[in-house]
Amino acid sequence: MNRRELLRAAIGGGTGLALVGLHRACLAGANLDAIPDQTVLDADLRRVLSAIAECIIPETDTPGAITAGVPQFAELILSDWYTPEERQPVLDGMLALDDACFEKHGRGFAACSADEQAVALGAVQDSEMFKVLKSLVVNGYFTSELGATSQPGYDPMPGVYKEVVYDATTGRWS
Amino acid sequence: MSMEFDAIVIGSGISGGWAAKELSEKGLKTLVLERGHHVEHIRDYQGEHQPPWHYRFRDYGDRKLHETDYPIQSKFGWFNDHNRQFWNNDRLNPYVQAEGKPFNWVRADALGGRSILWGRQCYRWSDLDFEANKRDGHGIDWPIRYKDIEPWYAYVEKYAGISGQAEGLPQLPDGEFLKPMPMNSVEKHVKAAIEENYPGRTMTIGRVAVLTEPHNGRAPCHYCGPCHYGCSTASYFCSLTTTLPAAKATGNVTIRPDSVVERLETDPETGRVTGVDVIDAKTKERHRFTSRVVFLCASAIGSTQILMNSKSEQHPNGLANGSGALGRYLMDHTFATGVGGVMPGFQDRNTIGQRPNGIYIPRFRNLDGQDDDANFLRGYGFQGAARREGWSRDVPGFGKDFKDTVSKPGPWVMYMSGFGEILPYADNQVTLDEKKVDRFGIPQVHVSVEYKDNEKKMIDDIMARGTEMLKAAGATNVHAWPGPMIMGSGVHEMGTARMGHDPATSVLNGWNQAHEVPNLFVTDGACMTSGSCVNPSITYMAITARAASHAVELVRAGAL
Repeated sequence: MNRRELLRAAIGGGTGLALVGLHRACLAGANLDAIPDQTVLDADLRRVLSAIAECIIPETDTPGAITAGVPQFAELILSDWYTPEERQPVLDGMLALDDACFEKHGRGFAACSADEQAVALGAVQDSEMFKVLKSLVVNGYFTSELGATSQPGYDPMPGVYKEVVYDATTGRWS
Repeated sequence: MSMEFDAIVIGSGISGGWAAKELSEKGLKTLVLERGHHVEHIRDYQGEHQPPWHYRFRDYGDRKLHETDYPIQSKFGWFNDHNRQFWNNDRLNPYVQAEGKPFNWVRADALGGRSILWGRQCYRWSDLDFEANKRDGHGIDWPIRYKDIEPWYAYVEKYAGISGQAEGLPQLPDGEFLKPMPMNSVEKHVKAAIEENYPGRTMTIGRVAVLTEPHNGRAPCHYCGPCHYGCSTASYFCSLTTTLPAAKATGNVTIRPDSVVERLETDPETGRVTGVDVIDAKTKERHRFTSRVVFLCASAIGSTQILMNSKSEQHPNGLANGSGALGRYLMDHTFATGVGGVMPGFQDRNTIGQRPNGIYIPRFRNLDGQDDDANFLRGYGFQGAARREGWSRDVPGFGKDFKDTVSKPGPWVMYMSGFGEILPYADNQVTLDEKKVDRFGIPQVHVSVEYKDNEKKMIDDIMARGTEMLKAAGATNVHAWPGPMIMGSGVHEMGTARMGHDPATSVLNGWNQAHEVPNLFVTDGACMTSGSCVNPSITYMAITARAASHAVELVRAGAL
């Protein structure tokens, strides 16, 4: 039995409730509102999701996906917003990515080096899993408080509508 | 509370608010009945200025709730967790759609009605519109012309506050405008290209009921963007912040929310409405209110439902329906037929603030008779805007470079959406389904409507003409799409109790007064004899103020 089959057996076999309890315990003190009503990721897949999110939006001079809480938001949408049919290819894709890293490097995606992760993720850019997660991560990042407010010139309500011009010497819009 | 009034207004939206203001300011003790819940200006705008991260599902919305309770409303982009409290719950207030003929009934269920949620675009009709039915024989002739309504347009515009640019176009008369909102550089470029390449076509800034300067004690727009979350500064026209407060200031008005009108009682002797039967939405208690005059402003379909449910021995097919026209000729505007493209250049330009308005290309088809190359009757206008794409655009890859790119403004894109006139067809029809009643025991509305050949041909022309204009402006990646092709999507329902000269073919006369029931006036979208291609609300405002003035004259003369 590989990990993929294990996970299916675990959730299908009624271990889901235990996973819910564990999940809530792990997130105690975090944004409770983001806790899904149902659990579709185990701890390993949760690590894979976090690592994928950070690969897509890494920490730079602005916060990365993990700092901005994107993995929790992505998990909420995957768990409570998507239908099982929509979700399954994403779960399968994450498991396949993780399995491929185990086979190649002897460790899962989340434990791989940044370069190894970039190569592994780059190889599945056409997959349904990647397209869905990229969209979720980008949306989750730019609609998060840290992601949105760290954007240059963030001002949701400047009080006017007007055109601004970019000054290449100062790098500013005015 | 007193049960007797001089006037009862049913509905508190665009039309009902104006009826309440005009009737109460002219001294009539007026009762406003609204089926939706009370909304307190400012206090109940829970979603205003809220960032997405204050909502559990952020931009995705609460999908499960939308599917169970808001399957129709949630199809519309303006419905979301920020303003759900204003919209109709489709599970609680269902209607029936004819097999194979979907209809989107987009409704508010709150004091102020759709005036909270509307698109705010305001365009006067011209005689091109009022004479359209007579000219091509589709539908009956309007009993009024532009000269009849022109002073009333000016009257309501001055009060409501409409920003816009005068253009001197015969097909789109200028109004009483506050200073126009600005176009951005790309829109100016597209305007110049269209006007140079296509003589007779014009692009102007949208004429919009959003203040650009202080007006009647209301503050100008602060450009936060989504007006439809509610506006604490009352900068867009909404019954809650304009007409209803004016009505209340007279001391003559009583506003009763949670009041579902079941039917109108008529006296067989006098032929007049003698009572308005109300079911309290919260307690289910029944009340009867009486008045000398009744203004029905419950939305085209809502008003039609009430009239149909008011049948009696004298009115076996529904009140004021001796003609059989009631419920027929439902119109909308073709909606979301669009064209878009990428506008190269202008990379050193961007905009700040959210302009709650776009550009408008007034009708240019079939203006002076039928165009040689047009295989459809009447016409359409375009609404649109240019903006720089943001983080939601398609950028390949992932990682640091991806993040840097997607964090910067993307290319300029220009979108334009056609709004086309739909002809009045007898079989685009609303009836009551007596076998299906709602939670108040009122028969549900059954809607059987569809786009027909003229609308489909017009949509093809919208796509072709839109594409050629964007290409002429230098756009790349130009693409066009037909839209949902589902009636109701334009949220401009009109025509189910039309005005006309002849009681044999129409429900209302030239003063919005029922031919058969002299103290009953219908001034919402139901009264429309044809649809034009422009957004209808400013016309409802003008026609309501005009009818209210006439009704008061009749009351004063002792005729009502």
